[in-house]
Amino acid sequence: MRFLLYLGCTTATKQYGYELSLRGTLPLLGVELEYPKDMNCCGVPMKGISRFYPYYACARIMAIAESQGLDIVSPCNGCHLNLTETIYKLKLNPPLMNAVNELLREEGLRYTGKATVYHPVEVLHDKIGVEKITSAIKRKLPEMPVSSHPGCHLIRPTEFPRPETRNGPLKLDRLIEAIGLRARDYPEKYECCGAAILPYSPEAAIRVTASRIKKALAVGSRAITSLCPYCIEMLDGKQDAAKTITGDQSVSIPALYYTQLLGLALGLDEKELGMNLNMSPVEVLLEEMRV
Amino acid sequence: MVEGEEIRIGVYVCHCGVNIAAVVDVKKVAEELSKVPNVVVAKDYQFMCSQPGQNIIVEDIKEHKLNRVVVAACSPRMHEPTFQRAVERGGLNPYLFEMANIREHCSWVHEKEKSAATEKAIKIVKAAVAKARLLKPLKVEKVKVIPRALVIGGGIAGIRASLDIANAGFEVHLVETRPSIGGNMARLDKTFPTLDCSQCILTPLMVEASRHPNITLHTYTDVVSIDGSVGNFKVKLLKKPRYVNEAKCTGCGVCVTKCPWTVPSEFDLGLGKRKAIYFEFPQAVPLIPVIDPEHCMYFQKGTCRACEKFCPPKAINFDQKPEEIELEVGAIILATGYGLYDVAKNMPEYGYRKYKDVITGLELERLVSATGPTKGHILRPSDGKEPKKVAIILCVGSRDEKHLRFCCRFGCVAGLKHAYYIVSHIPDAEVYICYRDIRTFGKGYEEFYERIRSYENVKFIRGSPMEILQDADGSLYFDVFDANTNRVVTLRPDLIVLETGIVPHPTFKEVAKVLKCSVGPDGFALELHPKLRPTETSVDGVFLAGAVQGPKDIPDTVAQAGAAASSAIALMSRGYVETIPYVSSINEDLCSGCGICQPLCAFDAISLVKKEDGKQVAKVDISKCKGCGVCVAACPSGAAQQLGFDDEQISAMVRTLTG
Repeated sequence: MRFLLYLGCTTATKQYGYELSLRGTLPLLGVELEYPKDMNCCGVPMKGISRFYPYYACARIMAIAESQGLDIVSPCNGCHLNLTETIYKLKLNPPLMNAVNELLREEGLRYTGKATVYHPVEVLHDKIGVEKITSAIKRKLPEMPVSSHPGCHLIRPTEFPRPETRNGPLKLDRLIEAIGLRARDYPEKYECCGAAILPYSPEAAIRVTASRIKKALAVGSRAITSLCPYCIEMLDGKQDAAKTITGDQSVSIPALYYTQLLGLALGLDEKELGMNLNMSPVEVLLEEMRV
Repeated sequence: MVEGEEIRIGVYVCHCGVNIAAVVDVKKVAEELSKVPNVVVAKDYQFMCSQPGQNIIVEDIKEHKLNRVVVAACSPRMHEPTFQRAVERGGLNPYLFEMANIREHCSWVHEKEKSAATEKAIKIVKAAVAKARLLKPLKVEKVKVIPRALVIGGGIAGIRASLDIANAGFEVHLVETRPSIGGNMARLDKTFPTLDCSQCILTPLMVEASRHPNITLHTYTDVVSIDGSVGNFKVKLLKKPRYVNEAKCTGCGVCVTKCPWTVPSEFDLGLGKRKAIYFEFPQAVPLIPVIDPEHCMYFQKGTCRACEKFCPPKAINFDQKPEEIELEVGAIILATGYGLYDVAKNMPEYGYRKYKDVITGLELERLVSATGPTKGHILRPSDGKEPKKVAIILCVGSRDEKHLRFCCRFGCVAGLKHAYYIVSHIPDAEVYICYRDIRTFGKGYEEFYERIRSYENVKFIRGSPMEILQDADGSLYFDVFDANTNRVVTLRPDLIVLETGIVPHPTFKEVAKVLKCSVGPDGFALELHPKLRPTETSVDGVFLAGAVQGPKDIPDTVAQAGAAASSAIALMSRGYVETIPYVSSINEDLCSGCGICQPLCAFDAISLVKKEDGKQVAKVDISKCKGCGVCVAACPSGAAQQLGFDDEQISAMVRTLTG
């Protein structure tokens, strides 16, 4: 199983732990990852300005994948949504597909619809499978309750296929259980992490993040985990800001990528998983796990 | 008309107010048509369908000795019969008339291309004239109508329609799939806006229906098949076994008391319990219990038989088999009603079925009903405590392009009534109604809204809730953006009531398939005309009553049930129906008896017969033929022709249009 790893801006510039843990864990489960030869932004920041540009940007990414004969794995919920939407819309709209290919021709690229995109949750759950993950475990983790925060775009919108649905348990929760932890529901699991309003209203965004963390703490979760760089940027990176803004010192929980938890279960060292880069108290979790 | 007689055609171009005349130059159309061979007179007029318009045709037939008439106006769907009657009044066979559609097919779709539209209109009318030259008089036959009606569905719509037909002196068979008639209305505690007791106004009608000499009740019975056509339907019913001898049972209920097995009650929507042998509800009609074999220990494990042991009249019969019933009826009324939109499956954000204290409006009715699971006390399902803060959410699934696009037409007023239930049962309770719009359009509904709005402890929030969440302590909460105050409000209610959208009753799909009647994009039965023929279906002799046609409250349902009944009564008291003249006809000289047409006929109208000379030919039963034309298209030798639409006539039209 080989994929082209399209990191997207956030993971590539701020969330190194996500990349390290993906590159550390997936090969242990039989997945080879390649870097693309050339890459661009998925176009989401331009969405408000141009309708066409994001289609072009995503089609270029997919065309590069097609030229390398591989499918893409996109670890960012935002990029994954934009790529899926582009593939979906281009296939339905031949004139749009032609317009995009007209521009791509200058570089000798072409997107036909053959290459497709996967999110790590799909690679882990659908391609590798829960059983294979369970059988690959090297280190038994304590049966502690952990809450998942899937992130909006893993589920929404419903107009085109998304990796997760609200009907029935999440794939991410099954993956948590697969490595011996307990997936624990909490009230605001499916809500926005706050990242969407961070540039415009930072205080409100951080209040939102604080609320999610407090709800997870209230149901007794020992950690919060996600596979979205935005969610972890907020849940992991904004805890100090949350304490200041809400004046509540209890807003503190280990927040980390699922692939970091998976890496621990697969016997990897926390440094190999970039856990020294997490800003939330992951050392508390590591301490508990050593017991 | 005499064979060989000169063909004299009158052409009438309608303005349709401005619908046609604002785009098509109607004067020019009439002028051009007057130059066409055989056209004796060509005129234009503002409204051809009006009385003076029709009179022009009647008088011209006499004055100009016309023997064919062409009207260029709207779609024939509405006014072809109008003009056919006018032609008949003029003394001609009504099928010597042809209609040219220059409104839907021309003016309405070419608003911006006036001169091209006029050219097109001329061609359309010329094609109609070409066909008119070849028209032959057609004959209409009369078929007797069986004076007996079938009503499918025993809710308020079906009961009302049955009583109306029965009171007019006709025999009625009322079929209901559940063990008792009554439907959804029997579940309600009170009815808006007058707040009269639902049971008190419904149960007398149920009893009347069961005692009426002209009504035969078939409860716990499904419709299996319906064949035939208007006036002569052949119906097969399947009566499910109750395992209780109806003739012996006295309805004493000892069996129910003695039965040791309990399961969730369907009538109480799972909120209460019933036994494995049960009455649908205490006022059930007929008052005969049913054994549910899925939960009865005798059927599951072969033991128990407590009901049989204690039954005073020895009415229990474990060996009862399903019983097939065959009926012949002249008219059918569909009254299958509605079901609730599956919110648990389609809208997980509301947490229905996930959280016990999120209930539907219909479930609240059961909680309030004196015969319900809590004996009329509003107690929340999770812990049996009285809720002090209740949120009522309107439009759950309705008016939402991702779910149901249409309005449920009673959710608003039902929600107001539910607020009334809460504050009248629990005076210190607070009620929050989350709404998008309040639609209280019925008689007395706006006044009812004002009354509820004046209550101090009922608060209105204009907005739809975001996700309903459960906090660590088990309490439910949600955020809602109130558009009236521009604020996000967080509510923490003890009980949440969803006024859910409605869908056609699940049984309707099967019935529609059996009847081959048209279904709209929303899944409800499609009426023949949305304004003028709201109780009729695409199948002659099949009428609609109540929510089978679309969301309706009780007053509208009862009104439509009466209208459907009177349509059925009109059909049966006239006693005959006219056959469609546009049937298929077989030219026996051309027919090779190959039989290709026979299995293709969806209406079973074609049979293969041997003539006296031994030659096999196809034969059409005109009482069954619907004039669909499938056999005509399939016939390899051109022996099958549809009267009024034969090859010669259609070819003449095509030649004119393309020439």
